[in-house]
Amino acid sequence: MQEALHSIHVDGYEEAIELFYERGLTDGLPIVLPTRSKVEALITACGRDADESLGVMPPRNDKVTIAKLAVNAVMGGCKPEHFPIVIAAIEAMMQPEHNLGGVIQTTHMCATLTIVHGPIARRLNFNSREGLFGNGYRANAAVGRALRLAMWNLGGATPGSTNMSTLSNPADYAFCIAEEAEDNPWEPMHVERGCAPGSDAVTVFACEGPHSADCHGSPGEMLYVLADTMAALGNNNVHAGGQALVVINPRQATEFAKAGWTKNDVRQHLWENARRSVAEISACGEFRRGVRRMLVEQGRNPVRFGVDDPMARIPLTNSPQDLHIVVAGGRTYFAAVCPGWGAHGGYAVTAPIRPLA
Amino acid sequence: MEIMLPNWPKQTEIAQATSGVATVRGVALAFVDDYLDAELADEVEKELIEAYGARVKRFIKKSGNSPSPKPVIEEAAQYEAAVVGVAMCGSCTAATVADAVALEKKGVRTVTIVWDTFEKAARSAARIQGTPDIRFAVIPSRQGSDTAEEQRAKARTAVGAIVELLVAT
Repeated sequence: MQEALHSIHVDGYEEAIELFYERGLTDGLPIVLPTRSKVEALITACGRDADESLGVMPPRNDKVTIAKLAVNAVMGGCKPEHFPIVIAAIEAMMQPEHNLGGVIQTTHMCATLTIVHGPIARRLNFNSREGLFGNGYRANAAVGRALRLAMWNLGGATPGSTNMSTLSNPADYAFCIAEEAEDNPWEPMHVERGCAPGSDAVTVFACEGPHSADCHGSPGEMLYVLADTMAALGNNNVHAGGQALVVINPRQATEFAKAGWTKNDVRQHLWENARRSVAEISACGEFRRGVRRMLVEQGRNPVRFGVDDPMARIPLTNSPQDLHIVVAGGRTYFAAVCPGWGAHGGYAVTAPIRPLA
Repeated sequence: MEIMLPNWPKQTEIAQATSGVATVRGVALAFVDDYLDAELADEVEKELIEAYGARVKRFIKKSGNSPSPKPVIEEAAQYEAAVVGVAMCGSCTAATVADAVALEKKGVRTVTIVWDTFEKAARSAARIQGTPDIRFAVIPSRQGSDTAEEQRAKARTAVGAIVELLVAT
């Protein structure tokens, strides 16, 4: 075995796989071996300089270069055409409002979800339908795992040491979905957030895994269930505000649209109804009440969401715009709620995907 | 077969150790407080002033879950020494240690208050940021049944350790 600064020569496949385990360079699963030719293919395809820095990733504060990211992307199973999506997601995660260092190191169980938008999702066979958060699709799995491996190797996020998540969740292996572009009556999420219609983009958002919301019936009945699911007392939004994500499936979105509901109508209704009273929050203990008070004192939550009137009903987020809605999944009766981390960070950031060189 | 490595040897600069202060009495101390354990922090401030005669300027952070903005660090670095805390959760431990590291790299002696549950995380964060020897005043984590007075008692114990570490060579 010969070692240079950026690479190592090994005799065989098994030895290489075990070497990555021994050196703590993988997340617990085997990897695709990042041979020089595979890595260079990704760098060439993206058309960017191998040494270009995308910033430093906490907590290790290692410089994330295109070359290092390409190695991690190959390890995750990415093909050259996936790499621009990985780059865009990393660029989004490194924005201050996402507070990636906090997301990686929090005791909360959130992880950064990547949502792929635009025609690229269908072209590269990302799943946006049945089994959305599950397995079976290389694009979702490879991009999702590449991003987690980057956090592992470049961010240095190791459980019990720098990653203090109490329970974490399987999203720490891969957490990537696509928004349904065709079977969707509403404006896609990235266009709402300023991207051009028909463009490709990613949104990153730190959240829990999907909580099931069994929503049958009329729009009002579906929203009643969704609002209740969103306002469970155990989630951070109830106690610490922030942002939340709701995933509505294409059939449900179509039913809302047929009944004249725009996405903003749904958002507004959920914001007005997914609430908890100060009395209910206070019943969770003085600590929770204290968190609410602190957020108001620090100006992170508006004064009107204070904790003086026990009958006041506190919304989950500062404004309806902090409730993100994405249309995806199978055409059934289930929706999903993904609570966020609270006002501590993990906020949604959308970034365009640059085309291949 | 040549295999590329996913992280390259990082040139982490080990920061030069800071000097302790001769005594805490009369010293201008910055207290960078994430405001996440207010009862403990209030008592730490009171004890440093009343029992040890320090002149304390408290910087209460806007968000305990992110490192302090640069201007706050710049201002705190004007003081003779600093107390940073309270590291009582995952993200705030990271943020607190980041503040301590930033101050140490500006030559300011710091002591970081950390709940024992997060001591390992705090030391890991310090190590990977090139300041493996920064000082921690470790206190027992707050239990659900702990009263405010019990928390204040922990603060008084912590201040003893803080003072010792601020003057240590």
